[in-house]
Amino acid sequence: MSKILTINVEKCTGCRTCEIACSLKHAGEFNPARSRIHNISSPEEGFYLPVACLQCSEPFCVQICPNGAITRDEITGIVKILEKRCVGCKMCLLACPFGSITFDSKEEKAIKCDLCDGEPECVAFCATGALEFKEAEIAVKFKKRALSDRLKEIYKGISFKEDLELVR
Amino acid sequence: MGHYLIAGKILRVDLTNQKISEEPTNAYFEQFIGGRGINAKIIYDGVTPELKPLDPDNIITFGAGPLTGTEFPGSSRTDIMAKSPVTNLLGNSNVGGHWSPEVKFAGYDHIVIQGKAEKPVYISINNKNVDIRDAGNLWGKDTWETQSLIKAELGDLDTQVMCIGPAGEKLVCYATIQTCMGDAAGRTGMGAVMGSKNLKAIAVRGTGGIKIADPNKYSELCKEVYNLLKEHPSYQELSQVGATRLTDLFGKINYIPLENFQKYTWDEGKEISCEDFLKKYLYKKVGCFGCPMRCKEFYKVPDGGDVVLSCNFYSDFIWRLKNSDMKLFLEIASLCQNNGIDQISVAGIISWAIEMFEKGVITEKDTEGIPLKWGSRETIIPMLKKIINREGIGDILGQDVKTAANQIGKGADKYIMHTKGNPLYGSNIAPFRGSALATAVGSRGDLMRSIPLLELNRVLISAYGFDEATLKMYEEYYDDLAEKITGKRKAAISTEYEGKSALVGYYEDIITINDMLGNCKWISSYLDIPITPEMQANILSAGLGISIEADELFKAAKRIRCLERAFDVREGLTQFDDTLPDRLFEPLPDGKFKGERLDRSKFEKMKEEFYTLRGWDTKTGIPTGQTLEKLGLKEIAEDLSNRGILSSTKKKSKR
Repeated sequence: MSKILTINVEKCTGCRTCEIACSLKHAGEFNPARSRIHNISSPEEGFYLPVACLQCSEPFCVQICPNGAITRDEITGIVKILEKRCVGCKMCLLACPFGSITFDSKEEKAIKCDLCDGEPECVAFCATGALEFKEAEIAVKFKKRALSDRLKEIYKGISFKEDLELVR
Repeated sequence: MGHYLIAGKILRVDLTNQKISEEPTNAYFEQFIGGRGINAKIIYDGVTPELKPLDPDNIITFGAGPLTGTEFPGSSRTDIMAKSPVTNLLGNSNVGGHWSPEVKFAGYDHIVIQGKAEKPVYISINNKNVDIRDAGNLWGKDTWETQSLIKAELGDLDTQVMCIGPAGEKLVCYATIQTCMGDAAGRTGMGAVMGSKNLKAIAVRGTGGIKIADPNKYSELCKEVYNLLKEHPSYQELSQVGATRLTDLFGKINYIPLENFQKYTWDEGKEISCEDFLKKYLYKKVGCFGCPMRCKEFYKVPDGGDVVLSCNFYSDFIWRLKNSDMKLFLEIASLCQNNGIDQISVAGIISWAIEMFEKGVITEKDTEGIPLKWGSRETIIPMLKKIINREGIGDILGQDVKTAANQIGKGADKYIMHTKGNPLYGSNIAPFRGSALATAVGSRGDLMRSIPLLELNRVLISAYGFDEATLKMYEEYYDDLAEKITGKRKAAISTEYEGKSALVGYYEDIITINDMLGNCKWISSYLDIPITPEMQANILSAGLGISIEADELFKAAKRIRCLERAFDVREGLTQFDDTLPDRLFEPLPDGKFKGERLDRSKFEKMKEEFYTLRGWDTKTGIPTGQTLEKLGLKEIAEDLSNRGILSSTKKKSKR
């Protein structure tokens, strides 16, 4: 069972620790511009979305890369750029519908999230749990739970019997 | 090549002749580390006593620290310094948000502004490109809209902006500098200094990196710090309910002064629960760059709009003004943030005005027909707007309190609650002897640069409703801690005088260390969180690739404090300025501490102890030549000697 990076926007405070944790691990310096994850923030609305590669099952980037530099691991599902093979053509940036691939001007290579080979550094530093690394099958169960909680509130005060009658 | 942890460059912008220059940070780093430390040195060297705070040649400097922009939790702070229009002494305010990490990504540690632009401008820094741009269309805009407009104009939503609001433009003495969502450099009128330079904002965008000598170790140590932090009760409290619940507890222990420090109890206040307000209207907890604590609250209130709050808002605009209307509270808070004015000062100034009105010092003639009453919307909103716009009596009250009192006359000065011109925090400091001392001797003339939280916490725990055994356990914890810090268990007890100078000295050092590293003091030993200067020194060492000990951080903190003091005495500060309003030496009228009195002679003795501890002259509070030299500030000693301030050393040499 492969694990995926889950994002709970309600929990994200836009602190950008994910960006600097990522850049230190991958680029050896604190630099959001060289991070593989980017926090897109709308502070006026208190809305923050960390954007990283979604690790598509049939990635456009893999298909478009002219030099076979992007591969997908069939077991882990991780889509990875082989740095040595990347020629810096930026076609993958063009192909990715989500803007999840960035260009590192310093190295002159395309960069993207590789889930730190199964131990994502951003998740280790995410204090609120907005980012989690979970089995795909249960990853978004928290949303179903939230839905259930909302319904639970509505159902308060309505007896089960009445409810059944409503259905009839 | 390159630098570790620091960006390596200080940017200087002279707005008069539009000259832009750079200098290396290294020249300052060893002695002053960063943030508040380097700021103090720049201001000492560049701002002489002849300069008035709103003169073009006053310097305003914005500093990041070596830990700013890194994984160290809470490393988001910007320290801002200039000569203050509030105190005419060293002005200083420290603010969170996302601005100074961006400054470091752009390649700078400090941004130093001097001169005055002919017309309103803003500075745009995009990596190496520094532009002075027209701000004609931004002048008059509020602090939120200004940020949005600049981001739109520059076409990059990741730009970070520090700006002033209309209050700063109109040179209201207590104007703030604002950034992000409601983050304010609130104290000592830094916004007025920006306004006096016709500088609306500084926008920054950077794509460079902060280099780390030992990335693996740095990261490991930061993870340890995260884990320690998450287990701590202060973290649990602040990340869940912020400082909001604290206000309710402060009310219970009569910590918030009402009616301009005439009372400490308020029956109606007992019904107000900020915690309930939070539970009802909180949309989301939000925070600063790199901060897991997320101590601010984003509220979405039906008919009340969107407001981000933290810290003192509740005590200032509910308790101090005796306002039980939460809608009015939000309205006042928004007005302050939008217009960029310090809520603590404003609460103090409006309280002062209301008391003067009650005592007949000012009348409806002065207020243009507005009767001044506690808790009244018809008083607070128009008075606030008058001050922001410098209209009518607001023009007088928008100045520093001493000038304002002189203009009002009729003994108005008797009712101002301030130290060194700086309106007091909304804290009942008299029965907290350490806090009383801290307010009198602290940097920038207020409590928050040296408040010994320990003595407050030991009283605060009585309001949590713990059982007796738990309460006793906590009391012993604080007594032990006080003993560890000062050698005296009694120092933990708020009304004792013993050990208080040492306690204040310790907290002052801790706060200074955080301010110079670019850290939030709320994520440090300041809140009893076991993130100590030792740990900070270890992380600093891993980042820099050279070994730094905690002792060196303490020594740098003492050096910085001494330098700040030297600046103030050069401006003419004396031991007589290190005092409190007379009212605070009277027996307390009500509440938990009813009848308690701050003893003047014991207070003076604490002061002398504190001076001695700092290596300042016991009577005059002037740093001695010996202390300055010991701290590596020989050139400061020479400057003070040349000006005849360090007479003792001169006399000695003459003999």
